[in-house]
Amino acid sequence: MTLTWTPRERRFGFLHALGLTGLSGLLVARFVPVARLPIWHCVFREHTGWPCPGCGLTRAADGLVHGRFGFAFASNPLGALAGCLFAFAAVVAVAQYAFRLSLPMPVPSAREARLGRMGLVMALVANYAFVIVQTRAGLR
Amino acid sequence: MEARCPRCSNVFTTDRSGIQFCPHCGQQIDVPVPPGGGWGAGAAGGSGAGRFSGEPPPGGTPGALPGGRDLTPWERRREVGVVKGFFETWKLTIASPQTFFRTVRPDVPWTEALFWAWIIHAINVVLSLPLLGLGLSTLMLPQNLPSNPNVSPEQMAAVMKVVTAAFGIGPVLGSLILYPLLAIIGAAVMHLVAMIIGAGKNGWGATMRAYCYASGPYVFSFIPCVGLLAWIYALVLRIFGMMGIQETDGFKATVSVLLPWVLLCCCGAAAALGFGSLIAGLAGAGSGSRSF
Repeated sequence: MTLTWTPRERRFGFLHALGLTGLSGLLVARFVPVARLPIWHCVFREHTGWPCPGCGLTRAADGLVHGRFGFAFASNPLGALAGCLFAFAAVVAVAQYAFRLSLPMPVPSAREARLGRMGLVMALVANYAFVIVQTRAGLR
Repeated sequence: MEARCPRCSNVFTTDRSGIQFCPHCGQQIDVPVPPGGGWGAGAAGGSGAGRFSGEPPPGGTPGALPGGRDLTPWERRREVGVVKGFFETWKLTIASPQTFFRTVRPDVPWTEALFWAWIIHAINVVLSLPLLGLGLSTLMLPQNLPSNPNVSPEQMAAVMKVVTAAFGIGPVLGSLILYPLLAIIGAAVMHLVAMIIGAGKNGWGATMRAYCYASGPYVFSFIPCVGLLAWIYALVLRIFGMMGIQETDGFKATVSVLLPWVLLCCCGAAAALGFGSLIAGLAGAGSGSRSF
């Protein structure tokens, strides 16, 4: 893995786009009662009784922005982790833009990128298994 | 000529100056102009270079990059004219997307493409307003109007027409203001997926340009029912855009574009909203002609 540094410049890049996305999502989760909307339900779960991989994401986001981290991670661990990373991206993006910070940028080799993708797939599978067990065990 | 990447320090061979990507670390770097140099220096420049300007890159007439990539007519609007540049770009994206996206440069500031897509959205909003004013958004409100002994059915119908028009126009006008934010969010999600599956080698700006230049079909989305087809065609154009600008294969481009929507559909929201809107649109159009 090669570690490079971004230039010290005020330029809207992918980090800022991610931060903006995270900030918008978390603001919506904070101020819009999305889960109470009549259209907001899982069609997959309604028809099969089994949760989809995304089940619990709304609760996770809602828990995060209201400071109920345990509830958030219990609802969908990977979703809660992604929410935390989005929030972190928002903070770093603001700091970078304000102070023209140079940030470290890891550039993985092809093998490392492949391993990373495999790890992500495994994490998604493990997260889905957790959601299924929770749902089928009647924990939510 | 040879250039050294200031980040990974590797030396590579290039046939042009200006903003480009290091073949070793993939970072975007600015190769300085050699003595007596070419036009490409600073084409993408710093944070504001070329932003909404339509000016060709400094140093002379823009020429095609290796691989046949060139500025779009919209990005050459100072040279070809704003209207012609806009329309030519629209025509190319709609009629020959594969050819167009293969020739779009990934290194030009994405604000140019965003500006173009914003105008497309503005045209759609302007064309939508008369239809919304006719009450075609009635589907979003209950069809059984509350009866009031003090108000005649005709008066109630008139009131509802105004209410529904406002109900439809509000979000549409709001979307006009929020369009850049929504486009950035959409492209960020697409690029995140692209990066994960290894389809984002030309950087975030290239994805943003693919996302924005794929907005051409939205000109027609004000027409009931055709709007759905326009949305589907825009998705197809995004796939072509990712293939062409990010130089990736069809499978990875399709996954980058469709995976976020699949995830949304998992939550049921997108499917419910889309289907509900379709049914409501049909019902609203029907009831609109009957009631008003």
